[in-house]
Amino acid sequence: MSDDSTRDGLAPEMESPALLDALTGIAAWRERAEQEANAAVSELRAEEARITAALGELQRRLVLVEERRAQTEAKLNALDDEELLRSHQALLTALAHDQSLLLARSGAIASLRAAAKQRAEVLLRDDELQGHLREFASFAEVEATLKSLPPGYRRAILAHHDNVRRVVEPVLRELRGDTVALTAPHAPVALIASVEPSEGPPQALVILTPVSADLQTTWDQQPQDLCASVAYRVMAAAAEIAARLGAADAPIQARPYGRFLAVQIWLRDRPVKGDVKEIATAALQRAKEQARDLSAAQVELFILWLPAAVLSPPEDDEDEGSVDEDTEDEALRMIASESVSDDRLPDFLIADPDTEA
Amino acid sequence: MPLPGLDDRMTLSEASLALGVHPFDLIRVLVALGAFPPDLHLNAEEVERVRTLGGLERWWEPDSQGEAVRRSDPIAARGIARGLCVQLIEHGLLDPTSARLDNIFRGLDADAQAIARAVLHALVQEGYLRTFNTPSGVNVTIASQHGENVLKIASGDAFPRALALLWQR
Repeated sequence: MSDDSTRDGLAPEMESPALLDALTGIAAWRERAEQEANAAVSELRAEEARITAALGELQRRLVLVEERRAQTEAKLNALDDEELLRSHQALLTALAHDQSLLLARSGAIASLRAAAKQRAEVLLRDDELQGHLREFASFAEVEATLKSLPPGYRRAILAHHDNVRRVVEPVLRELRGDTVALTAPHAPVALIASVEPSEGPPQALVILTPVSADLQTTWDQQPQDLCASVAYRVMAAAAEIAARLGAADAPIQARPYGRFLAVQIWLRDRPVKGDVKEIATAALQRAKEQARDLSAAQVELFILWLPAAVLSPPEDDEDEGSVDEDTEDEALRMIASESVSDDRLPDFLIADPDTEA
Repeated sequence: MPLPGLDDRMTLSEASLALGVHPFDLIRVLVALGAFPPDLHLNAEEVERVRTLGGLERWWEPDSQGEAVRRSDPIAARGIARGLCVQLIEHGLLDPTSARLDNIFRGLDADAQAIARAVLHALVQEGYLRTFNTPSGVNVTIASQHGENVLKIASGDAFPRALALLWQR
């Protein structure tokens, strides 16, 4: 009991009704609680706004990441096509490079041949040498009579002929062009070979050369240079390849591949004997070994095998102009044409010295 | 002074011109004959051998019957068609006998060759002629069932529609 207790044990009188006090207290509490709650709500709203903003940023980043992932996946899927396209461009660049090289070396060899001819002409001014040459040239007639001569005479005549040969040999070497040889650096030139299809029975063999496709129509308007040498040797190799495959009657065609000359053997429907790549490589290797004119020009032929898809790559929409459209068309026609085997009529003018004149 | 093996040497391009054949065709003939020259040159004797063994013939000579028929026709394309059929008959090319396809063009000038090519296309299309590949190039023959029809063209009596279109359009 407090000291405020009244004498009669009753509670002391309060200055205001208790309820009022209580209500006043409650009101104060309410005000405080409301202020605190409002403050908390404001803070939570701010937090909520921050989180929403962060979510938005994350969402935006998520979209970006998803886009980048999709693009990267697309790139990944397009790597095969891109590789083909780049290989095709490299192929065209290499053909152009090798063509320039062949043309440059042809020019240099032509100069050397002209110089050799001049040297021969100088040598031929010598009357004595001319006499020896006449004697050398007429030996074929003498040779026919050798058997009827006594062995001693025969030996003497042959010994004399050997002496004459030694004397005239320098001028003959000049005239034959045996002295023509470039001192230029060794230069590799590629022949591109491809079998279509890569797997299964071969339908076609294509050999691309770094020779201008114009050779097919202008061969009679220019000297037989190194470019013609390459083209002629490849055509001979193609005929040999067809024969060795047991398909000697297969159509063999020289066709333009863009601005380059290609030789193709159509094997379709023909059972072939042996491995096409092996036989073709061996034949082209033989052609290379026989090419003394190319050796003299320090040019060495290489045979590179590429998938047919590299010769006719998929279209590239992003990199317009990087691939010669004509080249691509030709490549596609060459690899995919179904009608070529029926195209048997020559599409060139038959050269005729009489009508040409 | 002739120098053996030097003076008469021709490049393959020169030999092709002399033979009236494309070098690529000459090469196929040479390979088929086993006579491809590694130095890409032939002498005159070799050129003649290739001409003979390779069956490289010049049909359109001024005194040939085909040429006479060709010149007698007032319509150039029809004259070439008739002359060409005369040439095929003259050379006995009824299947299975055949000859090099390019023999048909040798001796004709560029314009006449273009017409002869169109005539050939038409005759092959109609089935009158048959072309086929050989190791040394493309050969041509008259389809056995069309011998009479080719004779009719040669005499100017009847022409298949595809052929007549060449001079009727």
